[in-house]
Amino acid sequence: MKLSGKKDSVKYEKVNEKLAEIKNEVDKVMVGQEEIIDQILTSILCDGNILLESNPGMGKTKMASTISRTLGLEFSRIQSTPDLMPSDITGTHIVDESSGKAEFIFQQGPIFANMVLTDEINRATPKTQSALLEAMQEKQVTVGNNSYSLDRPFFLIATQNPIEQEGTYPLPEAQRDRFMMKVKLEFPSSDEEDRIVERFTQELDYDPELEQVLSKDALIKLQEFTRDVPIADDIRKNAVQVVRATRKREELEYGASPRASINLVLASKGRALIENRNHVSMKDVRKMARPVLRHRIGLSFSAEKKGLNPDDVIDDIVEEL
Amino acid sequence: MRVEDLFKRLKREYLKVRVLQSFLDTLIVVLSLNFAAFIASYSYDLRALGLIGFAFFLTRFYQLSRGYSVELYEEKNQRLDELLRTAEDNLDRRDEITQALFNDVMERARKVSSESIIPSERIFQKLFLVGGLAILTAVSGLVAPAIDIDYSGFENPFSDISDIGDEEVIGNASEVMGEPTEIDTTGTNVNITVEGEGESLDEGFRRGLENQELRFEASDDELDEDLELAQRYSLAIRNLE
Repeated sequence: MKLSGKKDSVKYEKVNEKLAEIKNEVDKVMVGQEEIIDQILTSILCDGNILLESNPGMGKTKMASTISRTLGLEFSRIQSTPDLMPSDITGTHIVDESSGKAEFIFQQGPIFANMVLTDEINRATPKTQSALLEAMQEKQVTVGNNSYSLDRPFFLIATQNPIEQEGTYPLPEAQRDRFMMKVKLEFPSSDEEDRIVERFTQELDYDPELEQVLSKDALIKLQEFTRDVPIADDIRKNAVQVVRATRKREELEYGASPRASINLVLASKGRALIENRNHVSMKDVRKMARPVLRHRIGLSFSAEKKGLNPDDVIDDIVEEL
Repeated sequence: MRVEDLFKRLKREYLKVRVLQSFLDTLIVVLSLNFAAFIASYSYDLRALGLIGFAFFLTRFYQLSRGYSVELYEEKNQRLDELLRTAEDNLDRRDEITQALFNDVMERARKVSSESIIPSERIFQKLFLVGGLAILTAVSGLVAPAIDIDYSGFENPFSDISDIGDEEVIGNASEVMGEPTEIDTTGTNVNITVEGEGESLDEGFRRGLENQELRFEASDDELDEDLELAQRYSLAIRNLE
């Protein structure tokens, strides 16, 4: 993928312009999926990690790599398998003899990038999955007795396959809670699928020239802007009430944590910025409730028996608000 | 204007509307009480009614104005929806994006006035009610003489006049001046004819007086002399004027 650079700093007046440019660049590769791209961008603006669930062949890797290149981020990919070891992710100490004398040096693993795509995370063992926890939350990894900070910004996009659950290790609640959003990639429409086929069958290696819209520093500045987006007290309280309501529903075995409240408000701020608004609206809260909460709640047996899914319950809660 | 001033202005506008509503409510209550008292033939002190009205106005104003919230403006001005609340809740912040929000609010709220929050339909209903009650009050005033009204509670400003007939008679003219003597009781007819050229207005009247010719007819010579004397006096007085 070819890249040309345009890395100016960001002023608030230009935020929407920049976000629109990012989407335009991503559109050069991806067809449709605007809502998903918005959710991923929102999560990036909020400095959050994403759990991406989709069937195979939906373009998850393509999407992640395209976004990272447009944002000027270093990208790496980890394919999870049952025999993947934590050191395969974090890196390890190796003996270096290049200077003539043997010494241990730390060789960084693929986690040392700005955007890490962990494919099929539920195929990795819990031990390996937990190695990602520290990176996701603390933005650092510990190998042996040493801790290494990860470069900012750092995002982890983990994917999982909703089918083929055999031989997988479902993520524990504690780890799922560390993902800001769970984004579901739906199948494209007929027209979109036709355009995808047209786009990727005309050239041997479809590789449009992408423009780097932002620098890493500009992205960090954007993240600061996101935190600054003002929100009315009553809207923030409503967001908290949405999360609290998940703990009282009889359809749910367990509800979302206070971290979910934080993430719902943050995601609403990010959404407001993407929607070119200088304040959070209740529309943002409603829109973000599904991706922020769906992986943080557990359906009760009776709800599952009724054929409900987490999105149905979240919609009910938001409707009742 | 700073955004803080905007919120002060909006609150002032809100209070103005509430004063108007409270005033109309008070009018309705006062007029209704007055009319009810008329129907029930109940007499009362007007000052008491004034006090009741004033107390009601204060209570109503407090009741109406205590629920102030900028959401009222947001409901009536969709372009301000959620903006005013957010700006009000973040007044202490000075970051770039909040300043952009303040500028946006100032721009959109420029044309917002109390008109937008006036419940016009309600106000018109109340105005009609006040008008109706005012007419009823006026009509009740016209038919009031036909009704037996007890005025005992009122102080009669003409009491001195009504007391005149009750004054003690000190004496009559005979007791003061004595009995009349040498009174000619024979009938004497005095015919006085005043002829002149009548003109309107003062000057004409004055001139007419000068030209007038007086003629006296008397059946008695003494009386003629007296009349001549009276005429001379009259002329002398006129000359003095």
